[in-house]
Amino acid sequence: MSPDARSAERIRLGLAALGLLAVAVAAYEAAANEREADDPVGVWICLMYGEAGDQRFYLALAADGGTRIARPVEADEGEWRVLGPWRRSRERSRERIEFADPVNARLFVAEHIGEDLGGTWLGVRDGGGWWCAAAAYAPGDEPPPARGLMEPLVPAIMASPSYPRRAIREAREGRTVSCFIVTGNGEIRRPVVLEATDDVFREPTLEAVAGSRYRSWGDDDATLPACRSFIFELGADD
Amino acid sequence: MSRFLLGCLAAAFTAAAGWAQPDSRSVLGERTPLLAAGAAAIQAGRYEDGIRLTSQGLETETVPPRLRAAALANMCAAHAAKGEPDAAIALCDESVAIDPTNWRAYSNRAYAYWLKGMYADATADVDTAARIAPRAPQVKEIRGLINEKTLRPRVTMENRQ
Repeated sequence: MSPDARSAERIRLGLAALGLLAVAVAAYEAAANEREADDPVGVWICLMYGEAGDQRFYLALAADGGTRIARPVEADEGEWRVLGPWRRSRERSRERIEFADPVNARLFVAEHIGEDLGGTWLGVRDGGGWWCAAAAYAPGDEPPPARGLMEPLVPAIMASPSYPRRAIREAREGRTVSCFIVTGNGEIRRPVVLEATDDVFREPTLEAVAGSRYRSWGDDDATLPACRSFIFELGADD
Repeated sequence: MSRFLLGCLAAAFTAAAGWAQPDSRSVLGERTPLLAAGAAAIQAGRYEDGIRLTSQGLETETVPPRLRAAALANMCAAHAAKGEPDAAIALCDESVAIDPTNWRAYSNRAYAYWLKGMYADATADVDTAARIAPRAPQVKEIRGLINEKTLRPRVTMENRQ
């Protein structure tokens, strides 16, 4: 083989190796993304709602199960409060995570684990829901600044859901709660129905949320969790 | 609406035949051929023919009281289907006076009241029909029509943040 031919062969082999490497890297990244899809580890900015009111807080879930919370007061002091460790569980073949807040006697369960995190919470006398957006902090860091929990979200457009005709005919009333992420420019992303007393109200709820937006409140890449509750009622004719 | 009515009427005649079972189905044809022909005509959507034949059958044929009540309820349904609620109500009144357990007469009269916008009366009749036949789809249909006219939907929204 001539020196030129050997050189060409080396280049060909090198390109083939590079191609294989690229495939391997892509496969690794795909696997990593797949793992991340249901990996709750990280710091989250959350909203908790219930009959007693709403509250924002930071939530840190560490890989070793460590769970910490920082409400505005703790975030202001730069300290986390330790909660019971988070653990995975399964209900009706659906993956979920749960952790306890022993101080307030509350159990948090997240059925939604992905880009956003949330579910329901149950206390001794009350309960509600919670919804979180990912925050760009590591669980080992100090809590993010408290001001991130204070940002008000002002609705710019609140679209009303249509009352399903079937529900009127069958005299069905109900309540839904939709949770979603609000971007800095006020757009609503990834809405889900977190609670629904009757499935007939799910679709109009999501349609109404999709047609709504908030006023701009921050940078384009900033996100806040928010929820909206809907009560569907039927009044009698006068 | 017409589809609903056809469904309602078809069910009424199926029931009239069913009511006559087990030994009266043939009697309906043999002893009361006009009533049978009237029922078939109404079922086919030929309301005028159905009313005429049923009316003749009631005048000329020997008809036991419950079958008479069913035939009157059928004529009531046919008039309601034609958009003649007053005639329908009079026939249904007569039907329930003979057989107060005939839920179709209440159901048909409820529809006739609905046509007239008399929703309270329609509701009273549909309630009675539902007590006698709680699973009847026609009763649910008519209740749905009443609900659409009488219930005022309202949605309250609250932002959580």
